Amino acid sequence: MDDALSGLGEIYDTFAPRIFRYVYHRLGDQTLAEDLTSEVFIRFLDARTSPEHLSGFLFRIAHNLIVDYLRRHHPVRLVNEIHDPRDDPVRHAEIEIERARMRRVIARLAPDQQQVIVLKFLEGFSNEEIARVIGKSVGAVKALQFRGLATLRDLLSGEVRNER
Amino acid sequence: MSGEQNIRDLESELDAALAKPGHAAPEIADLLAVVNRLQTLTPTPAPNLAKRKREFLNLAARRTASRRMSQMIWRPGFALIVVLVVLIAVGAQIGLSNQATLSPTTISTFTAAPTKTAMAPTFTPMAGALRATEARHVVEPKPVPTPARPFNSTPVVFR
Repeated sequence: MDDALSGLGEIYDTFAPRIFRYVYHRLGDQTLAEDLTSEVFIRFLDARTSPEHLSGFLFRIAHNLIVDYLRRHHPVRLVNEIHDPRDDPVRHAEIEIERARMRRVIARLAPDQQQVIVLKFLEGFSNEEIARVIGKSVGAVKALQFRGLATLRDLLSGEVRNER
Repeated sequence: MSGEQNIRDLESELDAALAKPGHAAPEIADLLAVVNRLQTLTPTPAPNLAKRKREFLNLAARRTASRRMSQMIWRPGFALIVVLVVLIAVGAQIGLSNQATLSPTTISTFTAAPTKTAMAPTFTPMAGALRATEARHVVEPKPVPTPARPFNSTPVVFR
């Protein structure tokens, strides 16, 4: 029993920070990201299965929880909570504005495009890993990645035009 | 070249450019610029997961224990033991009921089969009747004969 628990502890240590980051990038709220990360592991216990690809399995649970959350609570919090007092206040403000803008435009993407963009460019997943997480082919992942980035480019240029 | 084929080529070109940055077509360069802007989101706050990890492991331990218990219950040996314990308990209950005394507050509904007592009766209230019954076989006493007087005899006159 101790072996099983230590194994679960290792799984938690390995994947919980990554799941947290993924949820945080999608929702932009630290406490919420921690809560949903806990929920991912509780559902993992409930599942009583040994998935072939644990990483994909856990991220799929996280994705489903995010989709459920967004269905019930919209829109996403866009405040970035990282504050470093050593930063130059002007530079810090610029970064905050840029982060808020990026979160805003990501939230406007289709859910599967959001998932691919976050996993690929913020979590560093390979196309094959993303394919396992979202249950689609590698070709579909490439297409979602391309369309997601193109939509982001258009949304960002539209934001710039609106600001002017 | 069809539009779909063109997009597929761009997807492949983007994928190649992401894997090996270098010279890229203008459209792909725009997308790579978006990727660079996404990196502003990369730093995330350090999660506070230690307490949640403890809760997760406690939950896992509880579930493992309850799962083992249910596995044990469904073993055939365990079921046999349970049946034996129930039988012993029922037997003990019957035994206790047989010895139970009637008290004003508790009345046992159990009616035990009548059993013979080993004690012999100390008196026989119908003994007399029995004797009378048995007297049928006793020879009845004959009536005492009165002295016989001849029919035509004259009475004796005593003077």
